[in-house]
Amino acid sequence: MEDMISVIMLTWEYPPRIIGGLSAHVYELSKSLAEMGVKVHVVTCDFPGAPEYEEDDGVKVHRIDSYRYPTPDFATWVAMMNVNLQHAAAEIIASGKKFTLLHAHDWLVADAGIGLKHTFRLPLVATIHSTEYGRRNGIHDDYQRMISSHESWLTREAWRVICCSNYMAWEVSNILGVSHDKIDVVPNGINSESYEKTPASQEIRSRFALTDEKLILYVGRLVHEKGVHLLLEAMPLLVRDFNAKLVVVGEGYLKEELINRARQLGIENKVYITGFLESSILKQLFRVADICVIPSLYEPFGIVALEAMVSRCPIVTTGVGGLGEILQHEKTALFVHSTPESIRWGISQLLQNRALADALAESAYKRAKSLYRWDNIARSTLSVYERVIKEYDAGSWKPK
Amino acid sequence: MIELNLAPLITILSWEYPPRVVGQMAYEVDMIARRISQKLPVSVVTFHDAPYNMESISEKLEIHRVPNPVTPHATIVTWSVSLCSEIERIVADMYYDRAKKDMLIDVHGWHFIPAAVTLKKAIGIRFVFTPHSLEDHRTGNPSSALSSCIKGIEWLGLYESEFVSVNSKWMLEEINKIHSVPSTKIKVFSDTDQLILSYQGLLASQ
Repeated sequence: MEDMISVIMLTWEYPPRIIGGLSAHVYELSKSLAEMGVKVHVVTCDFPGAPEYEEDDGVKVHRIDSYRYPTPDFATWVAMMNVNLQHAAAEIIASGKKFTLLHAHDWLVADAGIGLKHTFRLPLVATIHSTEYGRRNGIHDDYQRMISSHESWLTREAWRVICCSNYMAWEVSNILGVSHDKIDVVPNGINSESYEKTPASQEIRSRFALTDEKLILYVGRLVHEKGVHLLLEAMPLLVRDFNAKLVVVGEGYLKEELINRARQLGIENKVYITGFLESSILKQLFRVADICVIPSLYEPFGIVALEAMVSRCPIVTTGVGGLGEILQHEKTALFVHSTPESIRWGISQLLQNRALADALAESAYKRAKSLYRWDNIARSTLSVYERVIKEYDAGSWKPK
Repeated sequence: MIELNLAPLITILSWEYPPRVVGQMAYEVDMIARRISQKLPVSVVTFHDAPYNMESISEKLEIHRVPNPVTPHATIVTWSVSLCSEIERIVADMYYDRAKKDMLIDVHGWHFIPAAVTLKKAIGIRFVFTPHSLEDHRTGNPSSALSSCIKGIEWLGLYESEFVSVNSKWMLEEINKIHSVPSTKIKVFSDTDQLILSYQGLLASQ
């Protein structure tokens, strides 16, 4: 059946357009599915310098003009992006190639995916990477209500819903009212080879910390849900006992606030907020960091944990959401509470006990290598596709 | 539901239809639909703020009232685009129920143009665009981002449609002036019989 499956993958981000983790997810998944014989067409947004069409590792990538119409705000831009995405995908599907299903990633492509489902009567699979409720810690205004309503609609219309963790499956079921029977849990994956090939370069390390400073690494968006502000508050207590530097990699609305707070706390020389870093530099940072801290308050999956794991970087984490499934306390990471004091305690434990840190990192490395390979993830996704196609073929909705 | 053996189906898409009356368009669409249905089967697909229902007005006229699957909304454009996916579902169901037999869409106003274009590109249902007014006539600030966006959707309908149907020479000239649409693409209809003949001409050429 594998060589007969042909999928239209709808996503608003795909490399080189990278907004969050979704881009890398769709890229790696599409590439791995293509290696297994699945024909994958990704229909996505344009990006300066990226071609309108290309074949990338066996994946056919179509980039649409997402700024064809002027729009007053992000929500209207998303709506018009969906109009363009839908029209482009309709032309691709109608061009004579035989497609077996549609796969939509998150609410941002719901309008396009659902319309295509009905006009072509093709089954729709949806991956919900996170929910608006989870991202905002509740629904507080009409804008968030609109996004949540899109998420509910997409999961209603989808034949099957894929979530990246049991935690997300629980959230999608409870918040969006999707039956557990309709949800498949397929985790994110990691391309470990590219991390393993990366050398532990002292030259790179010296760009971020002094030779005698312990390098504590945070990687992620600088937003409340990631808990980076808690980590910053832990630093004054920590630097009393250890000569350590906190390196914060990422961008977000908290950036200025974090910089100002570090100054207020008198630790501006112990905190380096780098902004976005190139992937090659980031991989080297994981290799040279003494500890990676993941202090999230909300985390559907936690791909940064996989990055640290395959880099053999010891992890201190709050273990919330999907992190609690990837990692285990005192086996592959040290779990802490969502308070500065507890985070400081966790970091101190690993800085004081290098043997423990190394043991946790080695166990975490082995776990990531065995459970989170992209070919395994693609195989699980393919099983979802095969189930959907089987049910679709047996039903009466398929056009005669 | 209209018997499906059979005659080509005219599907009218309109964001307003009695009893949902926003402006004059609701009355005009109602009048046109009733007149066309004297000669050809007509399905009107429109919006209402309640669960979907279908009402048979006569043997050849049925009204499908469709709710928006997403609520609330940020702008009229986000409202329209989400509703368009639901409109596509209703029209596609008609298409497959009719074993893909002849259908033609007449889309009134700009709101459902994205759906009409998708249905054309996806399953080849051609469409006529009937603008009752233009964004430039309605807005006090035609260069605002929202009005520019709506004008972009109007432009899409004007260029993707088979022809543009208007009820006055003045409107023809306005479309020609504002959107630079060739006058030959715009047809002025003073009565419904002429419109039906044009529909039939299009259906015969499919």
